[in-house]
Amino acid sequence: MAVGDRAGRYIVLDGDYRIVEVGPAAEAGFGPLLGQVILDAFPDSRALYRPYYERAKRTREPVAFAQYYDGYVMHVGLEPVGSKLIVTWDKLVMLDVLTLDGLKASLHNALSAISTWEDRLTRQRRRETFRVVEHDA
Amino acid sequence: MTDQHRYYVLDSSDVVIQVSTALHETMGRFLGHSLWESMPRAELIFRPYFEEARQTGREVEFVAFYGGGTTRLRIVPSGRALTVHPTRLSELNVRTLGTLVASLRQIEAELAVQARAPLDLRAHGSPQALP
Repeated sequence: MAVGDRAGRYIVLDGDYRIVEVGPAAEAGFGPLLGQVILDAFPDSRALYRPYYERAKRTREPVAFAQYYDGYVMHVGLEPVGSKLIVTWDKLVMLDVLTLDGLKASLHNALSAISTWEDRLTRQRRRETFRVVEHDA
Repeated sequence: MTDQHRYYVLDSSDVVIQVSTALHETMGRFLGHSLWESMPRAELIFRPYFEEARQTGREVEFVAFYGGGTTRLRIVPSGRALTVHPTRLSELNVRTLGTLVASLRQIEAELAVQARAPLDLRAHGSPQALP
């Protein structure tokens, strides 16, 4: 599995989105959830993550997106391998909830991070589309 | 439980010199330390109210956002020492953007009430002020 470059921060989901493998660096957060369906373990994440899981499963293509959840903006990567899905992530911004000023600043950073990633992913998708069009032409 | 049971006492240098049993779990470790060392970035928010209580010799009550939620603090001066009664009002829910927005609205409303109508603390503490 091409997960070595993620320093062990990954989980593997089976076709039912059950956690079947946990990378060493993800052990603290996900180790206790091994064997559970990730969407059941985090029910309020269902609407945020499931559409991307479904897309990766349906297209068999890698999917990347930026998402806010539980105080963090994360860049999430999904890589279908056989019937499984490798999920990797990088934390981009953590909300600072200590003071209102800190919260305001970190919310601003969070929105900027989401916006930056959306722009980057849009440009990437556009480039991929052009490549396909050029190839077909 | 009323806020009478939840309190800590500061000396004139804002060192925590007493913590009530009800707050011991969360604040017991602050005993003997400056409050500002134990609660980073709180000084800018709380200290003006603490100084007001010391200077006027009167109770001061305010609502502040700190540590992921809003807290009402009632400050009772005794010379340069202060007894602080904190009551947690609400928590920021950072789980999803939806819960974050909803809890921020509640917090905004709590802080706005204070901004619109500062409490008359003398009336607040007096049964004669009740209708």
